[in-house]
Amino acid sequence: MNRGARLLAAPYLAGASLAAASLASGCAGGGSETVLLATTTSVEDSGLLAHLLEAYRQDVPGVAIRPLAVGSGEALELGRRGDADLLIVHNQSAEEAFVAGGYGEARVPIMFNDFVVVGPPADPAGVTSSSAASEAMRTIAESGELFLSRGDNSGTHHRELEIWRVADVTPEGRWYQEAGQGMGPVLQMASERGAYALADRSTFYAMEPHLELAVLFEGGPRLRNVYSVIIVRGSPKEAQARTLLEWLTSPVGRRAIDGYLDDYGRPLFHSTTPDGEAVGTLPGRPPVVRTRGAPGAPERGASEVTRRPTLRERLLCRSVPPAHADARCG
Amino acid sequence: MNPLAEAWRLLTSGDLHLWEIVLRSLYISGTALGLATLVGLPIGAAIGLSRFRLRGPTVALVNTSLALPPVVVGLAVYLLLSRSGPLGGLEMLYSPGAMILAQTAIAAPYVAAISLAAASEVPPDLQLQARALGASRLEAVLVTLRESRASLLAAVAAGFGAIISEVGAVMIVGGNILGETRVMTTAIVLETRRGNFGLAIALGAILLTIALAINLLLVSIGRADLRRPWSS
Repeated sequence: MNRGARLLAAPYLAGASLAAASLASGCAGGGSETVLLATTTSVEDSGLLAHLLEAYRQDVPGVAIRPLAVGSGEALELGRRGDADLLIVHNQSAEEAFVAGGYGEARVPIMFNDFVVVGPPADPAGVTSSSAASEAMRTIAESGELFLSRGDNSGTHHRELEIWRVADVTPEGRWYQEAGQGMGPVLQMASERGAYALADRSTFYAMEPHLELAVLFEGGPRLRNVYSVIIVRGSPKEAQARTLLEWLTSPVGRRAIDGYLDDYGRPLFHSTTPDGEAVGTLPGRPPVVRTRGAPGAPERGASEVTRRPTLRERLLCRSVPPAHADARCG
Repeated sequence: MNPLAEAWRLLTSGDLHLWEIVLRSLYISGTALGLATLVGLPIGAAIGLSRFRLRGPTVALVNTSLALPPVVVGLAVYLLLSRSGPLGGLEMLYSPGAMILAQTAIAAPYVAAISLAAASEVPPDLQLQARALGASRLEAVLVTLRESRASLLAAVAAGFGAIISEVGAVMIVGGNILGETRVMTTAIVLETRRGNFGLAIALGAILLTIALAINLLLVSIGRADLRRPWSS
């Protein structure tokens, strides 16, 4: 390179190195404290995520959490690709595969709610009298009424497919449509079209005032929905991610989960111990008294005051053979 | 499987699911483009060829409509077709018809604004000349439009480019229903979310090819324009 060219090039090189340096420092400065939390749309749409992050921010200042609300399938995929540091998901078999594949450290159940079968309040398919989730879903399939599936590989979608398998129904045909969208849009669409859908109770409660849908079937072990936290292995933000996980499972974090109520004062999620204890109670029902309480059994907050079973629930308990009755029948 | 290899396999194996989505996209955007041309071209040409008071503000209004965000159009069409909306009785929401309606509303401003500009560029003398030679008023207008046909084709192509690649409005009013309202753009969003990058990449490649074809068409129109100046 001759002298002239070097003189000409000098400012560019200086500028380029300056830009590179500022870029590097910018990344280091802005990114070091930000934990990317990939979670499911149900946690976001229900408003729990904002509630938890606000409580966490007040309790543990200085750690910025950037939440990303996607389906469970995408959340796990983000973790697999190292694009997320922490996951809150609800698809047990996919979570176990994720951990077994070496992508995550452990699957720590933190809370649960349940799924509900929703549909037009008039219930044209007549699912209210069903005794099990699979029976309710089969009734919809046989009636030919429209059923709207998430179809997005999410935890809710997987649960729906599992129930179809149990019900021995192949979800295909004019009555079955896959929306390929999150819970919120699918509920909106079901409401507009007068269709049935499987929804998580929290999102449904949060959106209920805007929907022409009602809970037509609820209860039973097949509709139980457990959310777990997984720290992505090899994440550069592992320490911060662990702090959040520890907070979520601490008494303060549990109180924040249990204390989140919808506009009508109904609890949407219930905290659980990391070993999955206390999963027997479902939202909106009297909690099961557990005598062999694990050391870290969740503290029951004011939000879990026992509710009297509704008339429908009591009738249901009487009509269902004891083998099929679930915990709420006592 | 490597996503790129999977994309190549889908593109070359004649995967039915893939091509069904591509055909639906072309059908919906093509129909919308036809309707948008029927609406936008006469409006654009009429404003472009006439001289009237408030012409300036009218031109500004048409050009501003270009900046209408597609999601806002989607929201408006949603509210219109929703059960509680004024056209709820049609039960058109979440159907290809709703998507065509939204895309027509997005493409029409493109067609109108560009054909307006094209018609304005034709020397006004041409119309006078045609009239002097005994053409009726309508015939004079048609002669003028014929002279700017290259630009008008460009207007139509630009409108198509705007809607074939649009995702917000079709997601809102179409709902991305498998086999009914799932088009290329909404399928790309979904397959990326599902982690099915192969199908997403294959659809993206087809979308890029369509965009490239449109631009090649525009370039060739431009060349044809140069060879045929107004004076010829």
